[in-house]
Amino acid sequence: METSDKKLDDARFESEMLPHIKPLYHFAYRLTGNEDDSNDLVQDTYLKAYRFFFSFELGSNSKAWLFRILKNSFINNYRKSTKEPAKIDYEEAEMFLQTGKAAYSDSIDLRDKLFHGLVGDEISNALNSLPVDFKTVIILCDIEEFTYEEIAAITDIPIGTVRSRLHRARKMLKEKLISYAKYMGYDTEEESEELFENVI
Amino acid sequence: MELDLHKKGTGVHKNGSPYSDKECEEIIRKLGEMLDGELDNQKDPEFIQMVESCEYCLEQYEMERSFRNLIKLKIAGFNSRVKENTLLSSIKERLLKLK
Repeated sequence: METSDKKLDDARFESEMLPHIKPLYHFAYRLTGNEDDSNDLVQDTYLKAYRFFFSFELGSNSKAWLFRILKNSFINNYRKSTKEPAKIDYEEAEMFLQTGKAAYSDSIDLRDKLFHGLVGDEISNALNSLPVDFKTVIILCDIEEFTYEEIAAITDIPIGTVRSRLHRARKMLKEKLISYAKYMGYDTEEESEELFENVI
Repeated sequence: MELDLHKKGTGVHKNGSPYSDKECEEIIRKLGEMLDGELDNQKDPEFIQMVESCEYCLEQYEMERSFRNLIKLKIAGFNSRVKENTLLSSIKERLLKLK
């Protein structure tokens, strides 16, 4: 009897958890920045998930559950050994926001030129360069489309902090994209249209 | 929430807006949450009407929408390098050892 229960659990585990492997890998890659660590992190995540599967409430969000395990594994095991600072310096981030404040005209520039001009790897690099807590909320909200409530559960922060962190993170990302576009000289309509064509 | 050129409580109106800066700020905040799928304002005609009568809010809304789409589209397109099958088989292998 026990064996068949175990088999049932194993089958449940596979059907519930394994389909999320791709988004988990992408999240891991954003956090670690390399393939080997991403592979290890995803594997560790699944092994932990398997061990603690008894605590998973069937019918609840398995993707969010796995993302939370992965995020915690990253903090506990990987962050220590990488160059990533152990703690986010919020003051530094705030300073960045204050000094790099975009004017309204910059926002218009952003939409008209840069949105059409920048290609995937530039945006990807800009996202990667954000402090880990900031890029995490953008990935979870904008790419993985988790709700604020799920993001709060995954990242262990209150929902109000999810809102404010998302706001800050998007602002930081926009700033980076604006300066990048300016640096690259994406400053004419023709050029941006040309670039846009290349991207599509 | 803070918006770049908005000075809270001053009663200053942006170009093309019938609302005070503070009101615009609140509208844009709600629009942002709507874009994140957190609010269903489809059923709130009063709110939609407020948004539609403010060029500034519409402009900001369009900006935010484009920005989110850009992130989603470009990053997702850049995400496809995972060697899914290799990873999947090593996970299954390691799980087998635990079973």
